[in-house]
Amino acid sequence: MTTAKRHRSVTAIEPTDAVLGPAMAALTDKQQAFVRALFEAPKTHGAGTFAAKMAGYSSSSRSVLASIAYQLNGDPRVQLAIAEVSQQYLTTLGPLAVRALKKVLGQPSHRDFGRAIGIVMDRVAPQNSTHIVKVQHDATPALRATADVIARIEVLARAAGLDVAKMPPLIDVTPMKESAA
Amino acid sequence: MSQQQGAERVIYHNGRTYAEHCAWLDALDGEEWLMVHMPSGHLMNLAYASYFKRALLTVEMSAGDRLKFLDGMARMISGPVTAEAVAVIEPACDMAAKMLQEINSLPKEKVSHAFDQADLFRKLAKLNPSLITALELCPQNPKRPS
Repeated sequence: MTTAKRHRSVTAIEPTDAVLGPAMAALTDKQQAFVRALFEAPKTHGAGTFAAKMAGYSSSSRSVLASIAYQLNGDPRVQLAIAEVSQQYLTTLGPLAVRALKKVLGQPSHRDFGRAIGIVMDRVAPQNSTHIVKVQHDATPALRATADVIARIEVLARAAGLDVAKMPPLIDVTPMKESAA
Repeated sequence: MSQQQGAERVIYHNGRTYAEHCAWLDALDGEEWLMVHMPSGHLMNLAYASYFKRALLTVEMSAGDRLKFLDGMARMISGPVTAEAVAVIEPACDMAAKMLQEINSLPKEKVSHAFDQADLFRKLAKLNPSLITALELCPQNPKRPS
């Protein structure tokens, strides 16, 4: 019986009529079948070998199939396709998750009943948090005048034989660092 | 004593008779001549220029106040006082600043009197020789005797 399990016969995955994503469409038929078979593999360990066999890659030994699977898994195009199909699976798992949630909500005695309510409430009536972002742009005449005043100060100070750089900082103007340019 | 002799002994200015005063003026030379022949208002302005410069270089102030000080100095340039004269003045030292603070505490009309006969200016010029340099850069009328 153990031997039968180990050497069970598998049928090659037939191509489907479903519209493929761009990553899957970029693959050959065999590679597409390999990707799909990865998600049908009965167990995580040896899934690559199983998928390679299911995709129709023929070989005399498991080690060769494992090697083929390793090469396919390392192909960036195959990896993109795996990510694409994974996303599709997650999307299709949505209804299943909702059904499970409904089932929990139907049993007030369920230990995760409270959590289920929380999950639903977070999505139905999410907590509102208000962020008030104040953006102030001061374009008042006073500010524009300040630039003029600074320029005038420099002119007058030069005329009076004073170096503005040697004067103490102004109490109402924040000096800006000069750019390297 | 004749009437003419009596008139000659009348005090004309600052404890001097007219003749004595003329003699005193004729005897002036150098810095004294410059100071005495400069109107006291201009002397006061030059002295205050040194005070303003000290304030500008030592006191933290707003841009508006700084502009007021500099505008005040720009307005000092009139008549015999040239821009070069104002520019050459050095900031007042501690002692000069104290003296000018004392003068500032007087009523307004007495502040300008303090510069009559260049008495105060003479003292300030000893502390800050650049005031004399400034005077030398002011075109004088009457012309300075060579």
